[in-house]
Formats: sequence, C-alpha cells, structure tokens
Amino acid sequence: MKHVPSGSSAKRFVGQVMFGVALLVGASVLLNALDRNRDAGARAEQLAYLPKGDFLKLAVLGYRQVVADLIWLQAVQHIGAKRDTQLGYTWTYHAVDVLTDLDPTFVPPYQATGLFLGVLVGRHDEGVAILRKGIRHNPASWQLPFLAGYISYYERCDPAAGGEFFRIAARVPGAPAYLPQLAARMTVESGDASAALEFLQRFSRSVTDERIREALVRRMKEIVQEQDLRFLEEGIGRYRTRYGQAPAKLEDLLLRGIITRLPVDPLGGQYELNSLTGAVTASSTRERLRIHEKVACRLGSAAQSLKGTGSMETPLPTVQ
Amino acid sequence: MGAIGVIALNAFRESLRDKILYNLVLFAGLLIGLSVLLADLSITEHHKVIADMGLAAINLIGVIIAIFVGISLVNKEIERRTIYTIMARPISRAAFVLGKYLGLTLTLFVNMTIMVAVFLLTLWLYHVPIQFSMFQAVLLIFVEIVVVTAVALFFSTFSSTTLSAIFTLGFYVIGHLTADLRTVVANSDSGPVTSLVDLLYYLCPNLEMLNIKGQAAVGIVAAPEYVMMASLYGLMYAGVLLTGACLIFQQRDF
Amino acid sequence: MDVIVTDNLTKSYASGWPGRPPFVALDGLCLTVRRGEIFGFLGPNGAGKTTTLKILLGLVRPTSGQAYLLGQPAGDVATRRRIGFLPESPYFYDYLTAEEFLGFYGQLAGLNRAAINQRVTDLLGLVGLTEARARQLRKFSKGMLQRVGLAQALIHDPELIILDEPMTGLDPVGRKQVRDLILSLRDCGKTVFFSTHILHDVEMICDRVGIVMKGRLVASGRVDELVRQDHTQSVEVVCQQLNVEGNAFIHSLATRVLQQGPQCLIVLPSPDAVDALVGEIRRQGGRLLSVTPHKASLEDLYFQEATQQGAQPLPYMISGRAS
Repeated sequence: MKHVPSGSSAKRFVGQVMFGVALLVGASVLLNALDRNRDAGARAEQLAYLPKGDFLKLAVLGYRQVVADLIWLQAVQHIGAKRDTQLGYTWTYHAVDVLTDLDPTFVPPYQATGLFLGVLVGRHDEGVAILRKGIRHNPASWQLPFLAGYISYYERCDPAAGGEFFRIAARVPGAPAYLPQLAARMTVESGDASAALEFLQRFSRSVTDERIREALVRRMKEIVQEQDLRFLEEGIGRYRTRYGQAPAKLEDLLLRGIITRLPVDPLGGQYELNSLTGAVTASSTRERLRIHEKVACRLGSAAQSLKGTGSMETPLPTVQ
Repeated sequence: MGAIGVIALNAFRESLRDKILYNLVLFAGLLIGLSVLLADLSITEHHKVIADMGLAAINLIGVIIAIFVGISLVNKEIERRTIYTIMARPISRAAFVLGKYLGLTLTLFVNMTIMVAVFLLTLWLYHVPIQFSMFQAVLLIFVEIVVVTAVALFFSTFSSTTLSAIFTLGFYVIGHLTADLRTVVANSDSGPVTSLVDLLYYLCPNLEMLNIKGQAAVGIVAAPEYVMMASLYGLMYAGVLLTGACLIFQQRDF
Repeated sequence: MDVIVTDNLTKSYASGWPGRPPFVALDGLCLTVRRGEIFGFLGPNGAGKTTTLKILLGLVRPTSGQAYLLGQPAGDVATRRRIGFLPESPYFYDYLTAEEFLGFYGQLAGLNRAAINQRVTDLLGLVGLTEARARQLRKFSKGMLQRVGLAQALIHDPELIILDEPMTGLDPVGRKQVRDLILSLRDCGKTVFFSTHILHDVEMICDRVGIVMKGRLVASGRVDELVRQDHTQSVEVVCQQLNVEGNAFIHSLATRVLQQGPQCLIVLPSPDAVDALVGEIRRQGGRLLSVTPHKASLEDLYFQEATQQGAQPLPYMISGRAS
C-alpha cells in the first residue's frame, strides 16, 4: 500500500478525501434532519405495522428469538418514554403481543409491559391480558401472576380475580414466603392502599431495571399522596359537620384538633385547599384522575368483581 | 461512451451471462407464490400479507444480490487476474471502480424492475389494491440496495471475499439497528459513551430510514419531502463509500 | 529515443510478520529499451520480471526509483493508450466471445465502432482465430487464449507492446507464429519488450537482451556483443582415415581428441589453430569432413550468471543506462 508520493497524485488524494468528508458531513446533516422528521412516534408507528406473530414466525425462519429481541429493543423505548399517546400504548401492546408470539418464554417483556400498561399508564385490561399470556407460557415465574394479582386487586378493584392470581403465584415453587399472607390480606380488604404499598415495595425489590424501579417508586408516592388527599378530605368533611363551613386553609384542621399532623406531599409539591369548593389538590399532580376511578370502583366493587375477569377477554383493537 | 460506461455495460453483461439473476428472479417468484399460499390460509389479513411478503422478498433478494455480487465485483477481477489487461488500458482506477459499481446497480435495477412487475401482477391477480405508497417503498428499497452495494464494494477493496461478506452483512444489520441502539445508549448518563455512539451513528448507515415497507403495505403514503430526503441521504452515503473505495483501490498493488 | 527507462527501480513486499525482513523483488533495476527494437527480458522464474512489467504498467507501485514509458512516468493513464500488454498465462472474461472480447478492449482504448470492427476482423485473421470469432473464451484452448490475448494487446495499434512470457505453453507451431508476429511488429516500427525464461526465443529474434537475476540487471546489450565478449570460441574438426594415435602435434593443439571407428573428432580451443591442424591432416593423408566453429551461446552466459547468482557485476556487463 506504499506509494511514491508525487505532487499531483498527493493533491488528488487530498481532494478525494475532502470530497468524501464533505459527502459524509452532508449525509449526516440530512440524517439529522430526517431524525427530527421521523421521531420516536414514527418509530412506534412501525411497531403497529408488524404482521401478526403467526405470520412473522414463518418469515423469520430460525431467528424467532433474535427477532423477538429486536422488537423488544424497539418497544422498550416506549415503555421508558415519559409521554406517549394512547395510540402509542396500543402499538406497544401489539408489538409485545407479536414478540411474545415469537418467543413466548421471554419473561421480561411480559413483566415490563404488564407493569407499564397495567400500573403506570392505566391500561389495565391490556396489562392483565399480556400477563395472562405470560403466565400461560411461563408457569415457573411467580412474578407474573403476582403482578397480575396486584393490578386486578388495586388498579382494577377486582379482588376476586386478584386473589385468584395470588393463589397461582403462591403455588409456584420458590415463591417468597410472604406471598400467601399478602394474598390473604388483599383478598379480604378491597382497594387497601397500605397493602398496595407493601406489594409495590416488595415488587420493586425484584425489579432490576432502573427505570421501572423509578416508575414504581413514583407510583408508590402517588398512592401515598392519594392517601393524604383522602385523609385531608375526610378531615374537611368532619370540619364541615362541626362548624358548618369549610376551613379557609388546611392549617385550620390542625388548629382545631381535627387532624394531628399535616401530611407532606411525597412528590415535593404542596397540598392546597380551594376554600370555595372545599376540594383539596396537590400542586405536584395536575389531575386526580385515578381517584375518581377509585371512588367509583369502591362504590361498585362488588358489582365489578363479578364481571372482573371476563372483561379481560374482550378483544383489543387490532392495529394494522 | 466513456470508460466508466464501457466497464459498467460489461459488468452488466457479465451478471447476465453468469445467470445468477435468473435464479434469484425465480426465487422471488417462489416467495411471492408463498405469500399467496399464506394469504389463502388466512381469512382476515390476506391483502396485507401479500403486500408485506412481496415487498419483503423484493428487498431481501435485492440485498442478497447486492452483497454477494458486490463483494466479488472487484475481488474476482484481482483473483482471476483479469484486472491486469484492464488496468493496462487508459482507464483510471477510480473509473474502473465506479464502472463496476454502476454495472451492478444497473443489474440490480433490472432485476428489481422484474420483481416489482411480478409483485404487481400478484397483487392484481388477488385483487389487492395497488397503492401509491408501494412505489414509494420500492424506491427506498432500491436506494437501500444502492447503499448496500456500495458497502460491499468498499469492503471488497481491502479485504478478502469472505471477510467482505461478513463485514457487509454486519453493516446491513447494524444499519437497521443504529437508531434503536443510539436511543438505548442516550438513556445512559455517560457523556463520552454517548458522544462516541453519536459519532458511530453518523458514520454507519441508517438503513431504517429507508424502510417504509410496513406502512406502505397498508397504503399510508409517506410525505414526498421525506422520501426525497431519505433518498438523497442514501445516495450521499453511498457516495461517501464509493469515494473511500476509490481512494483505497488507487493505493493497491495487484 | 528511449521507450522504456527505469532508474534504480526497487520493490519490496512486507513479509506480513513484524520482525521478519521484507521480501525484495526488485533491487535497483536500471534498464533502457530503445525505440523500434525487440528487447528480450531474460531471467529465471522469480527473478523479478513480472514485477518489473507490473510497475511499468502501473499495476504495482515501486518502493523507490522511477520508471518512464514513452517519456511519461509509469502509471500515467493517458500514456497507456499507446501501450499494448499481454500478461503471463492470461486470464480473460471467459463469458465473452472472441469478438466481444476484442471489441470491449477496443472500446476501453477509445476506438469508435467502425474502427473496432475493422481491427477485430484484421487481428483475428492475423492470429488465425477467424473461425472462433463467435465462440466464448471459456471454450478456448490455452494456445488460442494466448493468441487472442496477443490480439487484445494490439487492438489499438500501440507503439509499445509489452508481453509477459508470450511463448510459454505454446506448441512449436504456436511459438513460431508468435515469433513471426513479433518480428513483423518490429518491421512496422513498433517496439516490443517481452520477458521470457527461454533462451532460444531471445537468441532468435531479439535485438537486445537484459538478464535479470534476483531483482538486479546483471547483463544487458546486443545478443552478439554479449556472446562475443565471452571466452574463446572452440572449433570442432571432423576427419576420416587418420590415425591420431601417437600424433603428438595434434594432441598438443587439441583440447580433446575422440576416435570413433574411421572417424575422428578433434576439438580446438580457438580458431587460431585451425590452419595448423588442417595442414597436419593433409600431410598425414587424412580426409577433412567438417570444421565447425562452436560459438559460445547465450545459454553459457545465462548459466554462468545463474550459478554466480548475479552477486557481482561481470566484466562484460554493459551499463543499463545507454543514452
């Protein structure tokens, strides 16, 4: 590869190198622009175009596991994403459904997707459905029924289904010793926040993914916050019955001895009282969406538990 | 007709006489036939499956030819010593490399045209609506094949045929994963690692940008600007590799 | 004017292993080929002949030194329009027919369609392949390939023709055809530079010869000059009806005396003693049958060089750099 340097050939060499570098820079600029054009949302869309697992199985020959890994690599980015659209969740579910068709014994996707859809973004039916699929293919994993049990019990307010899942989890050899006890507690008290907290705490210990653990911690704080808000609302209710009007500020509850301590928002915000409506809000959380669900759920928990497991079998919107 | 054209046409003639193309076109027919068979099995999604399978077969076969003919394009001439008499002619080495490349590109273009024709015929036979987006997908598949050919040629200028095949396949796989790998790494906090990965991201081809098969099969039309920019990106990237191939080839002893 | 000039041409190949010395293929080769001559580049296998030719054609870059063809540095693209080249045991695109093959090289040389058709017909006739015109090269014999290769080197009517071992692997008829072709090229005013390891070819047709050993030019010059400068020529005298037994005079002249029946072979070390010997034979009543001066051949020189491995420049070595 040695060559005798001569003036003109050296000049040509440098010229060609410059030309190549200029092209590479141009290509990089374009790629950068394309990246902005086709962001994560667009890539999620791609997940939606995955053919059904049954077809894909034929097309990927002997590389099912690898293809499953690759799809998971794409889907997991969504699971980590802070903000996403409802459509994005649908695509994620579809992608994981396909990849678990390809490689049904790949446990982490079931667990992470179940947690993501069922606990963190509130798509309980899809979360439970994917976990149910995982339980069917991986009877040796106690985490999957455990998580499904939690979602059924706390997030969906379906203690009957939850109890069933916990019993499955407890039967798995090697399941933690506290499981039967926790299961018994959860089956008895419906929608109990402290049991949910204990569950999440224990569960987060068995999770290795840092982002998922963070999300779980946030979820736990949300539950604590919700407990605090309910506690304060209860206090306001008692204040109202005693004094016939709502307190002007939250500290009044403490002054009048209705509550013994003022809770601190675990998410770092302030609890605020709207003195006109008497409603309590947390400055760290914009909406109390779940609470309304919870209230409705508490009221109708008995009724819901009857059709609880059935609702999971409803067909999900298939995206093509 | 310049020297590049003469070399290109001869390379095209070579691939025709080697009869590789005929076999692969037959293969395309088989794959598309298979997709038809599968469509008969499924009741609900058969339109999508035919479109998916057809586009995938066109893409896969194009890439296979690009890799396996591309890596032997220059190497075969050196190994069989046919290059001696060519290089003794008034042709620069760059012209030789570019001519060979264009010859294979022409072969691939013809091959792909035939495959697309078979594909459209299959769609028509099974009353699958022919969408404009499919032509967009085919265009970007061709750009991808042009890039893969350039990758194969680039590696074959300085490594053996087997090694070039491995490198090119590796590049092809990486090309479809770069964006995802980059996103995964971007979540880690290590600064130097992130910037290294960014550098690699721009050095490796992003072939996923050229893949719109999925949406095309269901008839979602991509923005014309997107198709244009992506094509331009692919062509520029191929240009980078060709410049590199010429540079290395000029320094070589035979 | 000199058509090929090389100045201290050196090429070494890295051994591929660190620490090992590189392989030196050419070691300061200086060579000159003049316009209009047939120059034979002679040397054993592995002496560096092919490396030299590759450098001249720009296929290989020299580690140091320069080479010029037709006044331009070796590897200059435009100059190659005036050069024809036939590599050793040539490999061609075997999927082409003879006609397409020659047409392709004509196009590469920049000829137009009409000129190509004319040249292809002429050259196929010249090398005797007119009937094989439409046959694919993969169906050609080795001799036919060599001939079509020669036609390829001539398609654009070059001034300088470089041939690497053009006669290797050919039958006697084929060798004669190639020899005649080379001679007719010189008659048309072309310069022919060819490498070979076969002495006979060189002796018969070359104007000048260069002998290369281990990457160095050990001798160069006209064939008759190289041979004349060698040691004294011997003379063989054959006579009949002569009894050489006991003839002290004859024995004193001859280096060797052989009596075979009625015939007698006397070998003299130099032509100077021929007259004295012939006189003696007449005096003794013998019949003179033949007197053959035995010229020292290039072969003697070649083997002498080969045994010395070109270690030292020899007294009769003529400088490679004639101006």
